[in-house]
Amino acid sequence: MRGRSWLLRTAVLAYVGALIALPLYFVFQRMLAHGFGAFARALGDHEMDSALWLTVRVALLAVPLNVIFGVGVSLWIVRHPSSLSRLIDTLVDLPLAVSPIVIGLSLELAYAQNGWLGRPLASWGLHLMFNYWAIVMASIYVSIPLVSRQVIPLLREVGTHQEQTAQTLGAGSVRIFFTVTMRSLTWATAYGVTLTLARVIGEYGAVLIVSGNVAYVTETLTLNIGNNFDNFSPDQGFVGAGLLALSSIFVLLVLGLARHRERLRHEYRP
Amino acid sequence: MRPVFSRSLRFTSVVAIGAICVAGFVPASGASTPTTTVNVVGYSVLKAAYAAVETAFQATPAGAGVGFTNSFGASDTQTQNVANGQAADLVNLSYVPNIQTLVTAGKVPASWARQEYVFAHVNATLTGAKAQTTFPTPGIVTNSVVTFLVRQGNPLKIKTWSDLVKPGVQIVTPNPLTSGSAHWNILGAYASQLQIGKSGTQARAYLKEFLSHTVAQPSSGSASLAAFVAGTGNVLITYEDDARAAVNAGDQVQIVTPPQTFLIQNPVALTLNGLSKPAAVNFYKYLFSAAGQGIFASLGFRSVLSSIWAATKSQFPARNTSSALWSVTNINKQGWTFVNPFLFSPNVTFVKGSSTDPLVGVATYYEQFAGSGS
Amino acid sequence: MAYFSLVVLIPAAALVTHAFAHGFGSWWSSLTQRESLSALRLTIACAAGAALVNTVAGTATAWILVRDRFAGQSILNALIDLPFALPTVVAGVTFYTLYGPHSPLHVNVTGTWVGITVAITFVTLPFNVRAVQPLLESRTFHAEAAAATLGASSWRVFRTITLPVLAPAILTGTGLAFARALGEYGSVVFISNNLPYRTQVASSYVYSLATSGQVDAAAAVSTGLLILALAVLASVNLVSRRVARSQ
Repeated sequence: MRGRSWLLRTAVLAYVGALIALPLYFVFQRMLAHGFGAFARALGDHEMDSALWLTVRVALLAVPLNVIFGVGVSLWIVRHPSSLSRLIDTLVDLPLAVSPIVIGLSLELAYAQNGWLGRPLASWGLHLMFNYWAIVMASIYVSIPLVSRQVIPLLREVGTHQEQTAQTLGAGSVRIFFTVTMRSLTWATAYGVTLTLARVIGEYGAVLIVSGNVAYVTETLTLNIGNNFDNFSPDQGFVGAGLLALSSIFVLLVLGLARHRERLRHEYRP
Repeated sequence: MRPVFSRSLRFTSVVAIGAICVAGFVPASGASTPTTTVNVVGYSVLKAAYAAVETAFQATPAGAGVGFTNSFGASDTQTQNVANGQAADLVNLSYVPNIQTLVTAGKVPASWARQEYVFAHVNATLTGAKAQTTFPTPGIVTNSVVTFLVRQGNPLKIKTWSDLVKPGVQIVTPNPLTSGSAHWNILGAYASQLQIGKSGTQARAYLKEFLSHTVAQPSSGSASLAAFVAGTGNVLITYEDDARAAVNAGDQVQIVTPPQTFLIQNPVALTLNGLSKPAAVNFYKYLFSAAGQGIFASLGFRSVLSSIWAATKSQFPARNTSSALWSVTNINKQGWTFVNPFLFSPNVTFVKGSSTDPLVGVATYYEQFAGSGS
Repeated sequence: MAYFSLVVLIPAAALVTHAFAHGFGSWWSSLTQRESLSALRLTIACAAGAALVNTVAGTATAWILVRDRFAGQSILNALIDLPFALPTVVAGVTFYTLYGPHSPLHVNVTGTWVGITVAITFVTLPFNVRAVQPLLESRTFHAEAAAATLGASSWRVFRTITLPVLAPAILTGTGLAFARALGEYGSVVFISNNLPYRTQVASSYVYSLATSGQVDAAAAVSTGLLILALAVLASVNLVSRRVARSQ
């Protein structure tokens, strides 16, 4: 077994190294290819900074909304099983199967000025396409399942006896939610939130369609990277790419921590 | 543990709600708020040109305090977005049918090309007969021609359109479904054969060869240039102004002017929104003024203003600066009305009994041979 | 619930309506246009190829993460999630620069199915690993130990005892990976060169239809893709539910 495991280990490490570690290293290498001075200057590029700020603003709205929805719908699906909740369970997973381009297209069909909802909304002066709100909607759409997929299995596992105990001891339902329910869900929710954040700041295809690509106004950081490559400033593009890669590493660390804490919680269960 | 936990959760939710309220309503950090904003939507290669023209305009009295938002991308994509409601005051697109799409969509007035109509809104001095002589092609803000871009030193010795279909030649041209530049390239390819006396059938056969040699079809003109400069293919078909921008930027490429080429005419129009904004109308006028046209000329475009053209003619290859350049009306008297569906209709209709020779959608039909040659 | 329908359900309904706006016949003909068929063929082939490679590689990776001990194991574990965390456009431009013209490794797979498959392999590896890993972690390998003392080789042990238990999870991972790969855009579009009929993936084809005014055709091809992906996901759901029941 020892000899075989050495071979397997090397093969897997080589595969993952070539496939995953190498491109990651390459992004950073390219980011700093012209020295730290050029990198610092590129960080001050107005268009990229504006794109970065837009991405942050989108995340500030989309992530909390999706977390609230994700935890809420998970509780409903697990605690109130019915054929409707089973249907919603499947539908919530829908965005996982859909290409971001298709997501962008369906949002545009619904909310553009001549779309289903777009037309009535426009007559009231509300525009939800080719602007900040469209990007937020697209970000919400692509990341809707990410929290519930972590929380639902956990809820099923944990069951309700802790809540029932608290109830018999006289606690109100809000208190029960925040102190009992959420406590057992903490790390699963953290895992889901982190995945949601990563997905929202990294969305490209859907935003490409719904944003209108207006520089400094609806150009997210991912769009900015793509634009820089298309307008032959790849070095600037790699600086943006490097920033996003750095945030990905941060995400990986949080995910690892969440997984580790979940495993600890598992091992200490009676 | 319990009360502390719920308190911190409450605190976090308050902060989150506060963040949400702030996030939606804080615009991107920027300079002082302008008094009025002009929304420009253009095709992909205009980005640098408009940066220059807008800055120059803002230095004039009419442009003081005017802010701009800019969106540049593949011409057909931009057209669709504006038709679907994207905010736009001024649209500078790649070819005339794009503007006509916007007229049909109700965004641009049908009289978009008549300057008298436009200028009458701001009491301009340049109206009527005078306008006709100074602007030979109403509504067209810049001219260019179709040209080749090859690697430095021209290793494959590409000089003419027939060289493009030799073995080993890999052509880069954008995707005709989304890009205006692609339309011009295919027009250039098709017309080049007509110009050397070939028949329509032979020109179509050439188009098939041409498309079979493409190795990449990025979504826009500027994306194609980026792909070519990054190493894809060995010849790029593009606007002359974009090719010159690449050479001026110091890339290892050189321009090859084919003996037959095609006149590219880029239209500009004020939308119905734009017509009611004096700043937008003034900017439109500026584009056609000597100052504005001078900036375009310095960036490799061919001016439509006769005075500027006379002054800058010498920087363009002598062989295609004459007025005998082929344009859309040389292919068919009806111009775009015939040519656009004939070459680019997405629905290919076949001549009865001849399944290999389509009646319309010629270029779309031959797309299926893309990449099969070379 | 209003939140969910506003953002997801209504746009989905709009998509389906536009897809069938001119009847089932025109939906079918949009889906079976030559360009559409070749894009679908290419996408399915590359997705299947990548899913197959990752089925083996993913299981192997999960195995050494659970059953082995070596330095840097936690780094490997974290790294597996990178394709989940990294934006697709970053992966896309990186692959184009790393494996394209001017590649520091002197390989050029732009405009080939190889390039597309490599990009998809990157994006889908985590699905395969994370599908199998929890099962391996909770497994107590007693049966394997017993078989080993009876003289079976480790490969035979794996093949006859472990693999059947893992099989549903492996299939789940492969199914998820495949469904995801069908719609992949950002990481693939740069390296593919986007040549119609040759290296244009389905999502890119839908994009060009959508942005050139042919929205009904775009919606038609989109619903075709969606139906395919949903069919794969539904079978995955079925399998994993059977697994949950048997445990």
